[in-house]
Amino acid sequence: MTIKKYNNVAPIRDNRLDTIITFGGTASELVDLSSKKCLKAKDRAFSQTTFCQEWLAMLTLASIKDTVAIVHAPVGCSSSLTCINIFNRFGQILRGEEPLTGKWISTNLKDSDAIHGGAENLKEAIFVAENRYKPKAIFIFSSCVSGIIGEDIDAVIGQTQDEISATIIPVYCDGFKSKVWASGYDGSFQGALNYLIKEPKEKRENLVNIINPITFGRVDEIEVERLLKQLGLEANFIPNFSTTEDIGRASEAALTASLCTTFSEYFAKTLNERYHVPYTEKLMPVGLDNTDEWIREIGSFFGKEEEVESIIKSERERIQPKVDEIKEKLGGKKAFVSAGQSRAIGIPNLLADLGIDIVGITAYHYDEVISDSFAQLKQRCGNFCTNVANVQPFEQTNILNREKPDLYFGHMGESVWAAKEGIPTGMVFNLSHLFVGYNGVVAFGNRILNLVNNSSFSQKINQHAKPIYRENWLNENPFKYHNGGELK
Amino acid sequence: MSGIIEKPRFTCALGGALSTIIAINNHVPIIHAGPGCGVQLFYGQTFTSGFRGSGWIGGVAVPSTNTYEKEVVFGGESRLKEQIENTIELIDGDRYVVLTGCTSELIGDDIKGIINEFKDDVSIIFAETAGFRGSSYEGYEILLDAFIDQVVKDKPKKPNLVNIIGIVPSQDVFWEGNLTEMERILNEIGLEVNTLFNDQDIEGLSAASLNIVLSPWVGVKSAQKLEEKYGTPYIVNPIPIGVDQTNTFLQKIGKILDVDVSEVIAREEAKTYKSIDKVADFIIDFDVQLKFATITDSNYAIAINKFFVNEFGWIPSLAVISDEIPKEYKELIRNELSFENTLSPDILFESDTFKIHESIEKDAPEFLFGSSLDKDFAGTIGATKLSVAFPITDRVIIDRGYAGYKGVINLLEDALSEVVTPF
Repeated sequence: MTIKKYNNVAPIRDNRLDTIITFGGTASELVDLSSKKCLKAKDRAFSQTTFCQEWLAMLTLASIKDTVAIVHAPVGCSSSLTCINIFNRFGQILRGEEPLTGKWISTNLKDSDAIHGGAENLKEAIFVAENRYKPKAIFIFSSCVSGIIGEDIDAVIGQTQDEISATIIPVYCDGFKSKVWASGYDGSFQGALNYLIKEPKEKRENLVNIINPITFGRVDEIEVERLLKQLGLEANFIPNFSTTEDIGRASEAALTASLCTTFSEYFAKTLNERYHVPYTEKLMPVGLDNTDEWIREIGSFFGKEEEVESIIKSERERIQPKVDEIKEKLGGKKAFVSAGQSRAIGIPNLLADLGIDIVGITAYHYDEVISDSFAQLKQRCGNFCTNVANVQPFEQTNILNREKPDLYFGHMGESVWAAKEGIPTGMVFNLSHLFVGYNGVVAFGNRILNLVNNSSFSQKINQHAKPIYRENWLNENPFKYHNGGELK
Repeated sequence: MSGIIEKPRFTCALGGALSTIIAINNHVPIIHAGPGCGVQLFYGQTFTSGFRGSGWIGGVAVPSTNTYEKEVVFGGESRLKEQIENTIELIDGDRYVVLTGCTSELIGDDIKGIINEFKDDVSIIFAETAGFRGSSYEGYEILLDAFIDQVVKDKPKKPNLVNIIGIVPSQDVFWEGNLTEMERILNEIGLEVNTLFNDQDIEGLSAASLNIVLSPWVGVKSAQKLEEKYGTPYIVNPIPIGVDQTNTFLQKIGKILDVDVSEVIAREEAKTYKSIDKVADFIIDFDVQLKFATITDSNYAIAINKFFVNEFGWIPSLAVISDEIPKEYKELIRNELSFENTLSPDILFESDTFKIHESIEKDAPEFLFGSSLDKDFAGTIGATKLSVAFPITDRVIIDRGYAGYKGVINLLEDALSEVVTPF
């Protein structure tokens, strides 16, 4: 049995990073308050449904091949795994593999379990997972119900691990415990760090851990590999589409770099604390400047400053004519971007490379992870409207009606509401299209050209959509329902 | 202790209730639960039923209290009150429906007391739909019960009005197309229909002369309640697919309501078989008489097996019934699936995907009616598969239906297209 050295419950970002999920105003105001450490954690007096940390925890670990997920909850809390499975299958196809559906088990807690506890269900699920699949690891995701009834998951693991060959890993992610769903990443990585990472057998001087969210496609990884290869480096892509072994050897790497710092920062820091694998802190290699910075940081760690500068120079020279060509067609368009905090910096920078003006940004949360790069973005793109919101399409609809962008970029779920306002809408991620690195700027630009060339879908949807909100909402302050702060 | 389930084929009570509310015109759901329930169940119930989208107020637009640690410790009543006030201020709905989730029910908020404060100004009700109360089907029943207790008024009977209940939106992936067809045929025999999802009002559920439970069990309790309260008789008739079943269904209704259905039946039957005749050559020339298994809820198990056995000449092997049905209905389902000439399929009541596949493997069917969860499995046993049951992520469903006369043509087109896909 693994000897537990560390706490299985990761600290939530609400406390660890003072992360906020509610802000409305201008970019300058956010930079100002943030630099003075005057940001307040506000709530909403009206809210729409959003993601919980359990959802993101499941998303983080769902595609690891030799594992089974147990969701210790009523049957609904694992339901989105059928949707996450679409990404899982698609990702496998894009990697040239035969797509296989993931393996997950619900402990199906009912009212009697909610009173008497669900330990027996959990034990059964552990044995079933072991016997059916002989996995290398079994993840147990906690839930609101298991948390509120005080289920001792660690104790159940203690009672069963001796009889089970798989490593049983608790992932503490009770939905109600954090307002910041990204805490779910940390809960997942805490499990991986405590149970999967092995002491390094050797140090591999050319190996770089690349922490890959499932929302990055294989094409993006190929762009990263292309750049790293020019520096003589090899990528260890974890955790998505990897195996427990790939994750286990993360301690042997020379460096951890990220595709999304928001996703990986806790893992990278903790891996370094425990196994002395240093990590980079640049946000996301999306957009020309960000890609420069991203590869520069990696190069400087390996003492390859000169090589990096020559790569940057040749990549820039190669790509600039293509960028200019797109810029000519898109220059001066106005865009609004809604995304997780790292992408909410990356995508606007990419758009700015193409000459597109940023009129507003929604970041799902805000904290020190992006404060510097947000301030830089403000320098570059001006004093745009800034919303920090865990989705909340009612605020977005109001803002879009004020700012009237020509283009909208967002995630699943929220973007359709922009399309219903008649705005041509592109996804900030698309597994089959590149957006990372130098080539990503051009590929993303070409997608935008399609959006601009034919926006008939959003126009038609807009003409026939019945508005949700009362008419006067559009004349109100979009941040009217923020509690505990003055109106901006 | 309840049983664990690998890859369940339904979601929770809140999932069923939420997908039902967002399907009813101008009804505004207000979830009183943790932050993730609405999104989890959008992507886990609605979206995964053939990529159904948000509609007017689904998806991430659903108002929700998003209860966190503070509410779990100190109670969520004031948060709910504030949320209701502001939902009404922002969104103009005909009715507001508070759906409770696991957290608010475990902490014991007094929902009834809170909604009473709003009753003078708007129509507002609540339903206790915590996920641990049961499946999507049960969530639909809880909601229907809430409608009967809190919305339905005593209204004079309309002799030509019938209600259809028992179809759970998204859990029945073809719910909308099915109801459209059922309404069409009932209109043909001169009846008006309240499906909950058309232009009829819910208050007037009491005005019907007959409640039609279009499922072997979902909604039966509600029909009983409506009978007790308003004296409305009911029939339990699983969803009919194809000519035989739909004829029998109409004859049953005709008899109870004293309507002559013979002309409609004759016309629809002729039309349907004129269509089926178009694939007769293909069926005969290619010997398309397949051994098939079904992995569906009890409603589809009955309808698909009956049609393919009694009208299409196929050979049933195993009917897996995945909707965790209450014990007392199992006998009825066995009876419905009993055919002559040793054609009755074996029946397995099972929700766990691993066990389902294990039992089907032994039977080696050539064709599988199931869900997208059976995609890999169908490949390993070399069966042709059509997704007809929740969850479905390998087809897009817009208005398609399989019920009635028109529906069976859709079903045949889809099933036979899977057969010819390799060519």
